[in-house]
Amino acid sequence: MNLLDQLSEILISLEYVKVESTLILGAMILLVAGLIKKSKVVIKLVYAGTLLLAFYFNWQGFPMGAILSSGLENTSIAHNLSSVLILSALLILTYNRSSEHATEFYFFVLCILAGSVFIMKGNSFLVAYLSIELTSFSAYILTNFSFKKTGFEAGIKYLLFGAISTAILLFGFGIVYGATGTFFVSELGSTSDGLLTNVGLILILFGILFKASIVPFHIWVPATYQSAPNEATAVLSIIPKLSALVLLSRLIVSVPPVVGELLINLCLILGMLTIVFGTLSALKQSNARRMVSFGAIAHSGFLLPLVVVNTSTSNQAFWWYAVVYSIMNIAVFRLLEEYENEEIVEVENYAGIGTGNWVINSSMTIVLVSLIGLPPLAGFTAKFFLFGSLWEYFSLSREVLYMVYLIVAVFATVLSLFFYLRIPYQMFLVKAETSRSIQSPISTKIIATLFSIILLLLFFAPQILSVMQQLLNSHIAYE
Amino acid sequence: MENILSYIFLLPVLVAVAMLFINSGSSSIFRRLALAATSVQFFLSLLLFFQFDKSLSISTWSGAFQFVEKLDWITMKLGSIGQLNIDYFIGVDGISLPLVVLSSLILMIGVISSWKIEEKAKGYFILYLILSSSIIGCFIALDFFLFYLCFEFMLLPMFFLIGIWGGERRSYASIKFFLYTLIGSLFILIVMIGLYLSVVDGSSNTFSMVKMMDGFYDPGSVLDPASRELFFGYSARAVAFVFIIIGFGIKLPIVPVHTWLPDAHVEAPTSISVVLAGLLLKVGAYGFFRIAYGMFPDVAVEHTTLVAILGVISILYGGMNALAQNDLKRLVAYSSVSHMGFVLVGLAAVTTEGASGSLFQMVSHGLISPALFILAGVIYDRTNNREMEHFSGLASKMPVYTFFIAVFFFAGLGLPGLSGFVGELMVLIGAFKANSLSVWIGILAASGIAISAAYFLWTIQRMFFGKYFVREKSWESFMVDLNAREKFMLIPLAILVLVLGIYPRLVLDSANETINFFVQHISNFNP
Repeated sequence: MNLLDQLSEILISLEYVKVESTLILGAMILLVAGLIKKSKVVIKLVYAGTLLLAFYFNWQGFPMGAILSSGLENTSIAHNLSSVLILSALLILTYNRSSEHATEFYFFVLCILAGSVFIMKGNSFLVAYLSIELTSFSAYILTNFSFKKTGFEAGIKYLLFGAISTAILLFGFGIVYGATGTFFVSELGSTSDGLLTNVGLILILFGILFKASIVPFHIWVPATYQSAPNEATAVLSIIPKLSALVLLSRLIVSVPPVVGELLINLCLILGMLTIVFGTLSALKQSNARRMVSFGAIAHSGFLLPLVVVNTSTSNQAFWWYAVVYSIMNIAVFRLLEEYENEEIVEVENYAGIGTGNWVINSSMTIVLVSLIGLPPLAGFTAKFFLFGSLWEYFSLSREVLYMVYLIVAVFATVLSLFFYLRIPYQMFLVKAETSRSIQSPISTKIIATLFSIILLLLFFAPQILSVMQQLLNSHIAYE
Repeated sequence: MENILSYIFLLPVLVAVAMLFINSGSSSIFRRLALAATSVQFFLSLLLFFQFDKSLSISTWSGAFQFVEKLDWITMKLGSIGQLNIDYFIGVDGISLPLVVLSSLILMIGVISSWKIEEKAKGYFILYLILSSSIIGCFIALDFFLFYLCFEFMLLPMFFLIGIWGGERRSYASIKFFLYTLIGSLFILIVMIGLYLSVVDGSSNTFSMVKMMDGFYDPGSVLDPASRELFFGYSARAVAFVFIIIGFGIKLPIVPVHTWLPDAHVEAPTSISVVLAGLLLKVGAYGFFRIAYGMFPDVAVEHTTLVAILGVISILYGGMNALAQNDLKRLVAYSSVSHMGFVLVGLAAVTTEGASGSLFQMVSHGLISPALFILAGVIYDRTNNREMEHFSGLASKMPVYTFFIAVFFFAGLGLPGLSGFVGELMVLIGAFKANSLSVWIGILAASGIAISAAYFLWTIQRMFFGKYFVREKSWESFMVDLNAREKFMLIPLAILVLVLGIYPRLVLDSANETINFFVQHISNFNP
């Protein structure tokens, strides 16, 4: 292919990366707008406008398959999840953010988002690497946005671990390229599996699992989640994690079957460890946000098998879990912020505040119960689909590992009750010496109520999400 | 009246939603609303009882249910599983009918016994009504998903009801209760998913409990009896059966997973103890009937001795523990453990007498234990104390109270003429008649009755006879006899206990056809 052909192909393909281009351009405009006018409203409007436009372009759909000289590959799951990630970023606006540093904050969120959308589609190692770096660097900076000592500490920690993990990732890419001579995920399947390739692939796997906060690559998570501003935590716990999982699912289906088996088993074992470790560590936390962060680690373990197992059920279950997980995390960090504003940070501080402001308190209870996964809340349905697809895969393959996973997941659910419920327990069941209650504006109450209603609604009418998925899919043009 | 079951099921929760929007400082409006809701519910369930066709002959489970309502609830495509169909599917048969009537009665009495609750009354009655709906829902659900929803949804209201309005160690008790039951229900969840993926209605998988009981298995699926799937070396169906036993056994409760019960009872407010003992334990027993025995008859006949031994252990261990208690409420709690053991023994017998006896024992215990908790609450309300050794000779001071204590204690220990006798007798006849059970099961179970006689009579002797004495001088002024509200709760229960003792056919007639089919269905699998 000569240069001219390549250039014209790139020009045509550019239309298919409208979403990403919008996000990056929007980020630039946001930066300029912030320089000109330091008004919070303007910045938020630019931010929201960018996201809505990106959502619209994503909604319009684009052809599936390889684009930009196979640098990217559009898949339906990437397309669908892009919408979720964009909407999650939009929901970040429900958080309170003063005009101080607002420009930079939203700029970095957009960068994370753009990087994550690229990650999900990345087919070339180079694209994957660059987009992971874009996400990571923005994330390191976002961690510091509380401008406190702990924030810097967490940021540096995150940076160090992140740097090592990307180094490992890069090493893996290098080895695989050296062994197979290909730079594309989609071409891995046709290569022969040698020891070198396998080592390279495992290293790549580790790099990706780092982003998805899977044990033992999770060490950065608690400190980061605890010290970053709440909406940054929400972003970090949703956007990079889900996109890394999508990349992982593509990697696993692309590699030769023998290696695939190895990677799958490795993922399943690490996934179980994640669930167990996340849950057990959460039990002994005293800080509310840190506790929820460990819970989020455990949730990564719940999400992992759904991308590893590749059946249509598990794909749908992943979609379900991802959407519900995003909603729950945005809600829980939003509500935690509400309490933290009143200096209620440790779990013990929640004692006795259940008497006043029942809207916020009961919403918090609902969100936490949904995170446990009890009916009648969406979190239950998500876990229900997870268990269902594990059982289904077990009955198809008769591999005991899936059954063990199911049982581990079920027991972790019981244990998670222990820590998530500690907050409502302190609120309602423990009597404090000085009774106090939190004050919150009516807008917060409405937002909290809406989150609760959504979680209830999705339990009673789970078909809503399937219809959404079908709607999103219906705009995809297959070539 | 069409949709009568839906009204019974959903009325309380609708009233609870309405209460959310009532802003009132006084608690009276909430308890009146709650009483109104549960009274209407009780009235409707009486209608249900009289309209129930007792003579309907049954040949399959799908023909066994009356007042059936079926609506599509959730229909969605789910990957390769195909269509996920969850229905709003309810109905009653002879096993669930008495339990529905019992529930609505006890729930109404529960509201009356919470009349004195002033603190956060709005929250209390909202949670109470949600609990009411879930309990009824458990008994009438014919869709496993709906059943599971109701089963799980009893936990949260109960957790808060014990945890906020309970006694001194309420938080410990409520967490323990929640944890135990949640573990149990997750076992049930696994089996539910397995059953869903193994049972078919036509071509698609189904949650319908009726299909599960009739055994429409997808050939080759994991839980298909013919496929003999192995699971860590055991048959998959046997593992599922054991999971179910654990799940509902915690709720029942069977020894050794009973330890949540005494704590929960002691710390719960009186009204919640009433509901807990009267109804929640019955949900566990109902699960044994409907799911363990109804859906796994082939495994159940192979494990009769296991279930019977679990029952006998509960009877004896519960009884022994009751003997050792000093707290009146704890004694009643352990006696519950002991009495619920009979339900298991009766079921394990797989004879008509045994199964009817089990059901009867459930109803009878559902009347006696609430009354006993109300009676224990009476003395606690007056003195804030329940230690038996702090009281003596109460008979002279509180004759009416002593009368009711005597009635319900004698009913509990199985005095002929009162309802407890009928249930235990039938269970024992069933157990002795069963070929699959060793005669020792019957003998040991019968000796449980002797133990219960010992602790009940001893308690009467210690607390009510002899010289009048109370520990604290300050209690003297409170030691007055039952007031009108307390009598109002106890009199109907006493009458029912007496009527059922003399005329057990009131329950047994409506259950007869179903029980016969139930036993026959299981016996078909006899090796």
